[in-house]
Amino acid sequence: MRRNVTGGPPGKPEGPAVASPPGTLSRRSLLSAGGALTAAGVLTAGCTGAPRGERAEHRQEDGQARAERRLREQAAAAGAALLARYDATAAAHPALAGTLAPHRAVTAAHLDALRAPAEAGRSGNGSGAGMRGGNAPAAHPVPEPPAEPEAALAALAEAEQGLAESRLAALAGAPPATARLLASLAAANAVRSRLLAPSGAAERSPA
Amino acid sequence: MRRRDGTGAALAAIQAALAAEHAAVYGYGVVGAWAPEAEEEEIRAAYEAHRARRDALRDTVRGMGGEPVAAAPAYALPFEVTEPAHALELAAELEARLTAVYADLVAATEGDARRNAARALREGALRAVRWGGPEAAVAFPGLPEYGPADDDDGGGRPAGPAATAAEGG
Repeated sequence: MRRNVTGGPPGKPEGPAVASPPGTLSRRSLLSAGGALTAAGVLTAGCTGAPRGERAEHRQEDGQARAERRLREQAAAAGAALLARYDATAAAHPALAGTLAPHRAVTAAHLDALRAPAEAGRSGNGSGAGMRGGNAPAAHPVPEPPAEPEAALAALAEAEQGLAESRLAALAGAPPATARLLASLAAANAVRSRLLAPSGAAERSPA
Repeated sequence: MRRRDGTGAALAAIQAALAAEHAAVYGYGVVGAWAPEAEEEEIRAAYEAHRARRDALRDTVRGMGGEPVAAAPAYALPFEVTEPAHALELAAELEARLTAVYADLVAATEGDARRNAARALREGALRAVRWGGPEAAVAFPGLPEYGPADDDDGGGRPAGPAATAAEGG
């Protein structure tokens, strides 16, 4: 019954010996391990669940769909506001444009995902042709970027962090798929904030 | 022990998170053995954090009347760790894998449990970048359907599991 360290098929030429310590295993041995499939199965089960009682839930669908759309619209408006801040900052600090580009791209991708129909889980990436991030006016006026580049980055970091918090706060009322998306976006916002903030613990040496 | 469908799905997702934390605790053991000295303290903090999450998830499963999944004696790692840099790469992979599990847990739960899962997702995403550097930052942490990285700045990461029970069961 003892589980084996490698789990992969025996006789791999460059593969590690079965008794080799953990940490010396090749990527291939993991990929071929039955365990990988089992773990994936567990994830799938957790994700999809079993649609019993589907009928009862069907009745609430309209109301839920409306609430979900409103939630996504609000989240998208906040994302559009952040996008506008990136653009304003890049315009005020052309030297920062390169630094800001990846962060702005993520914000735009988030906006696409929020504006994509909830069901189209896979579509978020550039398929929403008419809805590229940035064509809608921001709900809030864009604050003027600070004159100092460092301060401008810090202001964006703060904005990312604020967005992370508001998305976490919006989780409570969200249907499962939207909650999953919002939680991911909140995590991404927190990461962006960390990457932008000079004081953050994260590395600041991408280039 | 399922009052509604949601409970069954939640329990399955919590068990999945528990299994993933088991794997992470194991993986961080390997990471800790190889990690650069400068990172030792933070690696240990991450290790402890994962142990704490594991224990909390185990309690939650018991509280729901379930039998917590056990840790495997060993886990296959996604790549060889033979130098400190690999250790951090492994740590980043472990965290990236956890983000997917916690994203599913967010979907399967409500209220405090959901908030907790979202925090864990955020922690995982932050640690993935802490260990993997800016290129480990993905646009949609925990959502493999959106691909590894939208801001394609070089090193896309595989979305597969980072540490897996060597023999599933």
